[in-house]
Amino acid sequence: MDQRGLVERAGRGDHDAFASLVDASLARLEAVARLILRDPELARDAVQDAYIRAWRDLPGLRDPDRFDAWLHRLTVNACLDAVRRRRRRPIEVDLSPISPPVVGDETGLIADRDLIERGFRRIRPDQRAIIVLHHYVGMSLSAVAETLDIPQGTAQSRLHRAMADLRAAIAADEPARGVIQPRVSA
Amino acid sequence: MNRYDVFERDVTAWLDDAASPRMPDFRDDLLQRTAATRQRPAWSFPERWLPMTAVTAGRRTIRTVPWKTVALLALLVLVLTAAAVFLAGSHPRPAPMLGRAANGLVAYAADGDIFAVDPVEILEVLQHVLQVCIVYR
Repeated sequence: MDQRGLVERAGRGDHDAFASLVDASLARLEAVARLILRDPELARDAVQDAYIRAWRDLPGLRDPDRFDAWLHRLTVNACLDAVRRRRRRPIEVDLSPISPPVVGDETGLIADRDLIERGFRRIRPDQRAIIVLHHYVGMSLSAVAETLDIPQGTAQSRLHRAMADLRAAIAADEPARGVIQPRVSA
Repeated sequence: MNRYDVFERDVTAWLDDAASPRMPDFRDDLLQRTAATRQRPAWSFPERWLPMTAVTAGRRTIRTVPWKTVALLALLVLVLTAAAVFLAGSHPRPAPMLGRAANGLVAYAADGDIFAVDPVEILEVLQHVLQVCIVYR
């Protein structure tokens, strides 16, 4: 059965159909939440909140074809709610290694990724969300705008600002490490 | 390809690498929780009754009240009012310098002498003289 049919059945209370929708999207959405929150436990809670809300409110979804965008919106909102809740609690810092050991010619690449990782943690969660939706999920700007329920021009400017802030965060980190120079290709 | 394209490509590559999507171990727990959750009936959603344009337009025009700012402003006004009352109430009042204000005497000269009379008394005398004149007229 196609996704539209599953959404319609789930909206009428068919939990098996909803389980099929969960199976088709859970891994991707958990990854999205982990990227936005940079914390596996928070991501787990946010994703569960999003799916519970999706199940509860599914009868109100008028257009089944918008299920994916709607589910992403619920997930992003759950992530931002989790961040707001976390601000009232002590911050837990994950000290596990980010990258595998550096080997041979991959030194620059690994260092690049380490810098991006650190820069990504320094920008705001809502900026991480828009970058993840566009550059990881692969949504077009119009789809991002629909998912976040904002005008397309706003989505474009927010994405531009988020990437600029990420670039600035990385640049601020670079001199301290003295490793990476901007790479320019023809 | 310029440096920004390279940067975006690097970010995308890092996101793909960092995401490593896999089926989480809480899948069954999640489905148990959703199965135990009751769905909202379709009729309880305004989107089912109203055009989407009306729903979304209404949602976009509503602004959340900035309660923190309002509370801070109210607190500020309260503090300023209390300070003003305190200052006004604690300000020492000086003793009156000349006593209560009242009409004084009127000085006039007649036949090389200076006289001082109470204008109220003069007024009463003049009224009396006027009444006498009217009676004897």
